[in-house]
Amino acid sequence: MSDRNLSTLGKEVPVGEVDTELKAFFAADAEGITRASLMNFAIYTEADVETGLQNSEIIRLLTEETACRAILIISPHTNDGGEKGVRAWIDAHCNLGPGGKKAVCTEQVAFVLSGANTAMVNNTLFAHLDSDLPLVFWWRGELSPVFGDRLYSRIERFLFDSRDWSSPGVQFTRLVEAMDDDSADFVAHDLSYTSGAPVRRAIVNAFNDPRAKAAAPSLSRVTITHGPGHRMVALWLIAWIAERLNAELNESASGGERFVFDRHLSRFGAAVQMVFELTEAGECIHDAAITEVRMTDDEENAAITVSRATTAGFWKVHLDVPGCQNTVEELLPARPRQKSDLIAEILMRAGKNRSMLSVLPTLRAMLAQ
Amino acid sequence: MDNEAPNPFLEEDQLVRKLPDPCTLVILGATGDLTHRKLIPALYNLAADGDLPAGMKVIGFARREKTDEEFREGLEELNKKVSRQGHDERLWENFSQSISYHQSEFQDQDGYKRLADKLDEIDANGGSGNRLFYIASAPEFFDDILIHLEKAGLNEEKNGWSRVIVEKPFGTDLPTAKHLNSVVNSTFPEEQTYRIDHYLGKETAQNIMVLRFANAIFEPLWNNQCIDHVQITCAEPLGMEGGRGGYYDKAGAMRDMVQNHLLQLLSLVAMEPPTDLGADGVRDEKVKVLRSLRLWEGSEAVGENVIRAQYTAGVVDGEEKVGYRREDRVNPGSMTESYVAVRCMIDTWRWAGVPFYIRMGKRLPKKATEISIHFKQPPSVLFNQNPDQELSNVLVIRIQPDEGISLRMHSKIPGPALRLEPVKMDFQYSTSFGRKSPEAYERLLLDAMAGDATLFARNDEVEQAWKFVDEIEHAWHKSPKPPKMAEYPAGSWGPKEADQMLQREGRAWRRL
Repeated sequence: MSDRNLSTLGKEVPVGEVDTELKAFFAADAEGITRASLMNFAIYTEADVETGLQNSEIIRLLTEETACRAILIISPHTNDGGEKGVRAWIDAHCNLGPGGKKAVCTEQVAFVLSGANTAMVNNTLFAHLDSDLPLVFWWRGELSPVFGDRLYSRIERFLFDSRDWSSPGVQFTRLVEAMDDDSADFVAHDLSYTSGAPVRRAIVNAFNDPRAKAAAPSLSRVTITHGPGHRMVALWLIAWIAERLNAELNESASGGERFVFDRHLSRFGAAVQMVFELTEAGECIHDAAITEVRMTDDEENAAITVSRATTAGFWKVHLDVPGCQNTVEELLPARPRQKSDLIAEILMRAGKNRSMLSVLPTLRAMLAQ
Repeated sequence: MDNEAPNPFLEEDQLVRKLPDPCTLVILGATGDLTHRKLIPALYNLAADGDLPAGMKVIGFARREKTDEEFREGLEELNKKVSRQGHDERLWENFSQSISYHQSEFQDQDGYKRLADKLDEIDANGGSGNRLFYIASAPEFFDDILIHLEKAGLNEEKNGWSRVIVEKPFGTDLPTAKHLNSVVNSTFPEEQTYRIDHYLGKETAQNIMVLRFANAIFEPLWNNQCIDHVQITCAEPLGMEGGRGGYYDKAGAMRDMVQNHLLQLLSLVAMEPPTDLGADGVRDEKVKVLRSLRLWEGSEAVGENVIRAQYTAGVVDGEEKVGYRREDRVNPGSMTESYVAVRCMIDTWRWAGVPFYIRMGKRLPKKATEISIHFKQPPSVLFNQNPDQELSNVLVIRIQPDEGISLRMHSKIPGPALRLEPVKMDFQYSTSFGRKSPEAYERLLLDAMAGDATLFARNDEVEQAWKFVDEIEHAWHKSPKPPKMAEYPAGSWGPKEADQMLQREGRAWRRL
């Protein structure tokens, strides 16, 4: 990796002088710039350096709206042995403040570690946090031994993307064990789950219609079409729908891309089966992870479809249910869904992310299939 | 010389402390690190600021053979590196002429006799008659030095005053501290004795009283009705560099830092408002805090309320570091703690039920000394009906580095949702006052010369602090079932046991 590429990270400084250099940067133009920070936002990746550098652009986009101290740690081959070293860079992302007088800048500190072990990663992070501010930690890629209690006990929000995991079932087990640890108090966010938020909102919107609500008990088939690489988003969606409809996974009847749930419509009645099927589309529509969700009854007398419009930035909600004289179609605006947008959406919310946590057991049961 | 006559040119200003008297400062143990890195640069910077009294003289007293010139050269070399205001050749040339060297063994009475002759000669040639003896030697020489000073009559106030400054450690436990105090006080009366705790000389430590008693908004909140707990942290990334292992392994974090610096900071935070700002007015209130500290007696109580630990191998600032027991000059079987966390309870009306958590550790990720006051959560009525959100305010006093004060509050983040996030109101010395704060030793030396002992520890303060520490040390080293020694990797924030001590009470260490 050439130093020319690494120079995109900013000004290289000795690792022990990061804070001093940052202070000097802001002091050099104290009249013209002001520092803003609401949180520590750390991105950690064990990918190669070139891939790791792409995170700098995500930080730049994120900091347009979110003031933070961004800490990027690129640590390829962690715990593989090898000669140890840390290099550090500082940078600032500045935007003109209100009134155009002062630029508001957020700090970025980047580290490239070589031959790192868990202790080095932890120390690099801990030594450079902005004191007293929450730590939001985005782990990119597979969880590794670095994900230990000394790290996660210091994290407020832990972000990851299960689409990056080759064995999501195993990784979720690790995550849940960490969340159950007494020393842990972090809120977990899967970007795959967040990706599905517009679809969930569209489904909620659809069932606001009383005719759709009336058809809900009879729904027995759900077909979900997802874009390439977005299967996890679809699985989350299935788990969410099932959880909202009080359906339990029927493990013996499920297999492959077909998930069968038993739905208890009443306390004493027999369970009704609900079948979910996944289909992968050839391409994503406007970067949307989910292309279409179609919910029907056995005879297709009722059909509720949520789909991403191909021609414009909308979600279409289509109701074709008994009691409708005409089909009902509604359009919902679709917002951009780049990684930086997903993270900004997560950071906008407080709370324990209970929606995802309540669906997680169902998802894990599905992954165990 | 008539030191009592007022200076006709001096304008009275109630904000200015008592002026220092000119004197001859004798530094016993002058070839050590303290003199070169702290004392002489402090005097130099006082001279640069015009605060050093005219006619000031410095005599370095030590065992090695040196000429005056050799001594000055060695001092100049370090001053160039560490002086707060840089090094000016002309100023140094002028300043260094007041410095001379006196060779003697600490146990050689003749050496003290010669010193007395030297001081008399200085006084005869326009000197002030005031003498300030700074004992900067290793602690094992304190007794000898004090006894010999007395035998040479150097403790007597003939033509001026005679004072002694003693560096820490003031003993290694309560009996030795009492012994040292009795030796000191048999040579110099308590009012002429100045026990240095350089943390008290730091601007931010001095600012604690100003913050509390010069701002009406804080004092009504400064009690167990509004404060949930207090944390005092001293974190250092350093280990045993520079051969410190030999000294540190005999001391440990509790004796080296908690007994003096951290308990001093605790007493400043917890004290009642003094009736006046005189030395005894302030120190009386600090002693009351130390007397009210609940003693942790016995292995069980100590185990529940005190965590000791040693660092193991780890990484600091990208470099691998060995564990404590493998450090240079450290006993491989050492049971000396490099980290300690203590839960202190102050049994007074003001502080009943409010834990003060203090911790000190070597090989932690950052250098930071700070006090954080954690206020109670607001009632769950309006914005914080979400039980998961922690909304307490935190007032932070940063002692070093980056001296300043910050207040963590909660604010609504702009946008349609009612989302509250913590924000910091921050005051930094470096950007607020322009000039760099004076170093602690500058302040303290001036105060000793001015006869103001407010920022120095009194004999009963020292003894009360040892009383608290001794119970813990006894449980660690003399009880049949001592509490265990925990471990933590170098470069981490300490042992999990320290985290658990707070977690048990629903609290957590502040992120530094």
